[in-house]
Amino acid sequence: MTAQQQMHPGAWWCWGLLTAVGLSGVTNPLLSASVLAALAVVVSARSATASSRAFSLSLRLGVMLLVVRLFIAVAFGARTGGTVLWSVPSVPLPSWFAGITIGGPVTAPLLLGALYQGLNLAAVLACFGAASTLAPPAELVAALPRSVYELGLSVAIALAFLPELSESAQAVRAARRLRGRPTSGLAGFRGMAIPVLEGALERSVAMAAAMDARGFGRLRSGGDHPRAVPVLAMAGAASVTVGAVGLLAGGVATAVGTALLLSGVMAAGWSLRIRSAQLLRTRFTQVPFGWRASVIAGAGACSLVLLFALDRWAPLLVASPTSGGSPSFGIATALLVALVLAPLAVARGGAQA
Amino acid sequence: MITFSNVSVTYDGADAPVWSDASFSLQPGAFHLVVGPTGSGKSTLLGLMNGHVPHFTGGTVSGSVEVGGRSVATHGPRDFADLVGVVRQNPRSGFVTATVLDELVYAMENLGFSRDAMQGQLDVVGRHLRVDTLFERPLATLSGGQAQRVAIAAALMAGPSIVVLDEPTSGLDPDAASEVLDLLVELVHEHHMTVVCSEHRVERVLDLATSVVIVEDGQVWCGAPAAAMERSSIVPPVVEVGRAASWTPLPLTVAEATPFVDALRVRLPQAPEVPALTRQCSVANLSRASVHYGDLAALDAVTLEIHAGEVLGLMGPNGAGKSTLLGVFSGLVALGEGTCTVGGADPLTLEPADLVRRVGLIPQDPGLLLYAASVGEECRSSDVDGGLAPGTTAAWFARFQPSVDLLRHPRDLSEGQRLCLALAVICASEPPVLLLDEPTCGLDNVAKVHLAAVLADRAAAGAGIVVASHDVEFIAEVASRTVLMDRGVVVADGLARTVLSTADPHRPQVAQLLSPDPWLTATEVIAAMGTAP
Repeated sequence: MTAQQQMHPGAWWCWGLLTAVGLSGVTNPLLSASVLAALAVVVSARSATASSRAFSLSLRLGVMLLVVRLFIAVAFGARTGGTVLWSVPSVPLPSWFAGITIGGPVTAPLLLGALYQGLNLAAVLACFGAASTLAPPAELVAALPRSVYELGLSVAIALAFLPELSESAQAVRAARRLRGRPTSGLAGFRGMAIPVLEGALERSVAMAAAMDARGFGRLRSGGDHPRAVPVLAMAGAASVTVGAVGLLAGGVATAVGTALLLSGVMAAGWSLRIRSAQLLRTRFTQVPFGWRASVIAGAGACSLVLLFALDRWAPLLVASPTSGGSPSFGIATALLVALVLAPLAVARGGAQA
Repeated sequence: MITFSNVSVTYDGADAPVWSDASFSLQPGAFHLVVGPTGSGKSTLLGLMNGHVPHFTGGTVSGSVEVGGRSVATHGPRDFADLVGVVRQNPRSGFVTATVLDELVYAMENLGFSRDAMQGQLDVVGRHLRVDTLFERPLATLSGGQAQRVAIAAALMAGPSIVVLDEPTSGLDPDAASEVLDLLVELVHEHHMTVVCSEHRVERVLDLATSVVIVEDGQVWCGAPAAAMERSSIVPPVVEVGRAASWTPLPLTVAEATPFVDALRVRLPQAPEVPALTRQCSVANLSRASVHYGDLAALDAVTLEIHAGEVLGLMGPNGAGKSTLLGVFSGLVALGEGTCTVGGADPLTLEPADLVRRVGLIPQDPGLLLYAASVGEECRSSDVDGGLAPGTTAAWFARFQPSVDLLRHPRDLSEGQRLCLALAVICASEPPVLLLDEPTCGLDNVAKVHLAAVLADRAAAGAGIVVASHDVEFIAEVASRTVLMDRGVVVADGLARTVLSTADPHRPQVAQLLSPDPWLTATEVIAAMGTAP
């Protein structure tokens, strides 16, 4: 039947997200490029029939980011030493603009650094793209435990909103042409934005009404949500936020921060438990998180650990052109590529039907 | 089953109630039809039956509404989910998930059905509504008729005893529409469900109804179909003729009217006066035009000429290529092969500003053409777009709709008023070719008569007009020539009277009644009755 019945969608998201987290900040271009290639292999092997639009979209976005990153480096990058390739006319800025430069000599390290960072961003984006191609967000939401289902659903609706928006935009574009108005440029965009948003908003309201009419969020017989649920959830969220910010910014003592964080998580968890016990909701297609799913998720976790370890003990991997050393393709990179490719070994079947 | 006692509904910010003092009750296991002009409050009435009004929409409800023993005052939509299934006018706007299977099990999941119970319902309801072959399909790939069947199946899955449908057939071609209506009849007769259904095209459903609820002029009336047709402003053509000829008892269907036919023929001349087709001046041309979407031929070597001063009715099932044809003429769709000329130029190559002076298209949702915050502003910006004298568009709109406040927001207008505003915007540039895609969707009879007059006026001024529609009664009313399409090919092209009276089984009611005499519409029969001795 569907891919959903073969593989828990959470597995693909663990794999993609954990690899993405590990990759962030790793500026070895060879490593970024090999991960990109490995992701492309997995996506093309696993989604022969399904649309791989999300993945190709993420690749295009990645290229765009790379170009923007290079442009920023050339235009505003901090000027360092090194071989001067060419020079951009520089704009003298008043002294109180300290630290900001516009134009100047473009050096090899400047350009290479930007290229490495851009490649890294593209690889991180591609991880998200691969995950959402292999397991569409809607499937992920459907597989969530029922207590966080409502939360996930708002994300799913937001994601479903995008294709809705593009459809609405096409209709409005056609209509503008029929009225003899520009369909491109700034004037075109301004005239289209409002009707497109209005259309998509109307659709969202209709969808909410339909969900309501079909029993969404209905509780077990007897009563309303207890007051404790929203209070606990809010208190939990606030406590987690304060704790995390405190710890990261160093504003509070570690012990206080940790305590806040933990109590927040507990409060939020408790509110979810109450809510979960009250909801009627059952599932028709329950996909078990089997050993295959565990292997895929595990591959993601191993990538994360490997990348963290490299970051700490083999900083050459994150070498930037300014600090010397050239990027290397070592055994670690090979191992990482193997981990990204690992799902191919366990995921059943060649293609999603 | 459903009981309204002294019910009035007033929306927030409105001066007057939508309608007031409604008292009636609908018996279980029967088909109940809700009729009334656009904007009369039919949807409000239907919305009350599962608490959508007032719990979701806001507003004040006085009096009491009880559905299956539950009061709407204390129960919201989700509390009615196991009792009342709801199907909206546009099924796609009610879809919540991505695939048919997910959509079908959605309500059952929310109501906590066990997996086995869900499987059982899927088997039974799925087979019954013939959606069991669609389970794996993404909702986006369904045809209009399939989507409506899936929406009805999804509403029935949780085992409600009441189904409420808001114009379930308005977007469907005649075949798909009768399929959906047959389903509803089965639900009532074989499964003893209570079906409440609103419908503009009363002729489709009148013979199914046990009772009719009329929502009109702020009043709600409920009674037997025969009594309802004596007083309703919205009636099928055969009832219109019957009322004019004072037949008693008033026939509701063509079959019931048959005994009166001989008496009617005596009062009519041999045949209506039919002007010959105008063939003198071509305003738009298609020559061996083909458009392919993947493997599908939306247009297959179509050759068609549109003449000045004619109203061409374009008919055919969903997917026949009607919208594609209009898209080609208006420069929105590129031809794979063949040529298209409008006023001597290929519309695809024209600049938007030049295009609007040669061809105007009113899309199925006329609201798409409107963006301004008020009617007046819309008219002013249309003048600027077309390089017209200030006030031109406003003058056109006043001709179509004399009494609309120019300060109102286009979205607050009724469907009919919005259509007229879009028409005014398009007509202001006086394009020699005017195209309309399904203009009667959501229009009541009064608005349709109005639209017919506007189109006749434009044709008399020399415009070539194409109306694509499923509404055979409307085409009979406005068209001089009719083109029938199927799977991208023109299968019939000729005098509207000839093509329509052979279009079994979806002929206009009057054609069914008086065949083989070539009468088509109630209007012309009533006019002829008046003049005959």
